[in-house]
Amino acid sequence: MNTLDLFSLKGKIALITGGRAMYGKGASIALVDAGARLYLASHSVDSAKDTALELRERGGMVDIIEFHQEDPQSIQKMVDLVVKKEGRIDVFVNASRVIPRNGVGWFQEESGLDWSVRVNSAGFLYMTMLVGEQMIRQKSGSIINFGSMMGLVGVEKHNYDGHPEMAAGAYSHDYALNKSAITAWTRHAASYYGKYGVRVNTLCPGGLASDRTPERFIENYSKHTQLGRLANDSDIKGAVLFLASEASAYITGLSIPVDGGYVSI
Amino acid sequence: MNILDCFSLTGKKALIYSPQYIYGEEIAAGLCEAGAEVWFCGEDKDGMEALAARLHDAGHQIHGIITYHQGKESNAEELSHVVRIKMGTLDIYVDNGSNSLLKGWVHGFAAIYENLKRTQLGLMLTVKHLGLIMAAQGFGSMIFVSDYAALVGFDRQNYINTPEKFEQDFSLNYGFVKGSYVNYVRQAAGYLGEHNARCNCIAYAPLAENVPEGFSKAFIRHSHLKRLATARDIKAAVVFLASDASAYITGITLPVDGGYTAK
Repeated sequence: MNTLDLFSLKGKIALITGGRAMYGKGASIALVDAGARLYLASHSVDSAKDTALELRERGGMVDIIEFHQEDPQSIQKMVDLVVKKEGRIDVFVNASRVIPRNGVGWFQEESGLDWSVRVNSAGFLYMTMLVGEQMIRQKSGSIINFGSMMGLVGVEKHNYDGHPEMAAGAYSHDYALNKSAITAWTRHAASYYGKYGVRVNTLCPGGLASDRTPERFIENYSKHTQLGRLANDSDIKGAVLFLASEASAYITGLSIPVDGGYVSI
Repeated sequence: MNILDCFSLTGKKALIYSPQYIYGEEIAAGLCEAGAEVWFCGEDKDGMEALAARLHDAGHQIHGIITYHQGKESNAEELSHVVRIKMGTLDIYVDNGSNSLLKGWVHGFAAIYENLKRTQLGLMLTVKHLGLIMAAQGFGSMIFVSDYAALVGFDRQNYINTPEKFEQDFSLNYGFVKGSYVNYVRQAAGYLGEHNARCNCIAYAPLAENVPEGFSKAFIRHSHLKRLATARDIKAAVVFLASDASAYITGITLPVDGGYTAK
């Protein structure tokens, strides 16, 4: 077999949550470009339709599932739908999360933190457990979690110099706690699922530049990376495909920073 | 100052959350032995009182017990108020609450959410409000008690002869909660550091008396020091991080595991 064939997902069934925008969209593109049939689960069906259209124009096979991560019935329905139609889930990418409102930084309030725990922690564990049960039955599968560079290191407040509105949110509680939990759980779950041939890994992206990212922040943040820049739309694709495919068949329990070397200095 | 004096906690006030769980007794005894005035807080009043009585019999005095139901902001505010009134200052806060976790892997959403409300939401709200006390004071040391699951996945081979322990440790949210501290302490260290307060985590190995023999043998085989943790190991680490001996250390997770996670 040619080494490049190891990266192919032809004939594979992939399910992604949060795959319509930002890093999730990059992951969706990588999965369909490699030949997977993709189920794109999103709470925002209208926006997902635009992403699905774009993916189909690239030749991708894409179905949209309406999904709400705070709702256990919606999560169960999402998993059941894919299993009923395809009989299996080969790749599960969970890239969805909510950003809590109410209170900023250290002063985040109970309502926002509770919402984050319900969706980003309980919802995350519940949906991954349900997919994991299916992967145990089929004795194979690759689970890819989305952690963060901010699950690996604490915040550098000087990245926000010149932007006091961003600095105010620097010391928030839930994001670092949740992303740290995902990195550790990746090792924990890899121990549990390993004997069934199911792999669990995590990608820890750094900051993603968009046309709305302030210039001063880009300058500050870039200095903190070894490659001297923020991430672009394409940086996540190779890493997603590596973990989703047979190219990483002997890799499990790993959290890979995709951060331009941010956490290495 | 003699370097040994840096380890003294004389004149310092310490609050331990959920001391009745594993490691709590050794932590409380260690802080007392180092000279701290130790207080308890948590939900299990009977458990805390029983522990205080055992410590009293061993020559240690617990200065007060505060009933605290973690998980609501109003409760965290009330705890903060009580701490200010009764303790006056808060030099040391030890969170030992990560031991009330799910058992087994498969659970319904409600069970997962309810457990995380106590262990994650509750933790954040407690840290927020007690952190504000330390920030206002301009000093303090927060310590989160975790175990080696924060740093590595469990080894299935260690559980071959202990199915009950497998069920307990291979819990859906075990690594999730235990590991959440590792970067949360780095994050919290940022805010607290601006106010000269510190935040660290300890990743302990199991205590010898808390694990079945079959598991002990397997764990020891994988460690460098060829033994499980003792009470002295638990005490020494928490006193180090609580005291001025670690004044320049913040945002770390300290493995106290005989080298288990070093290979």
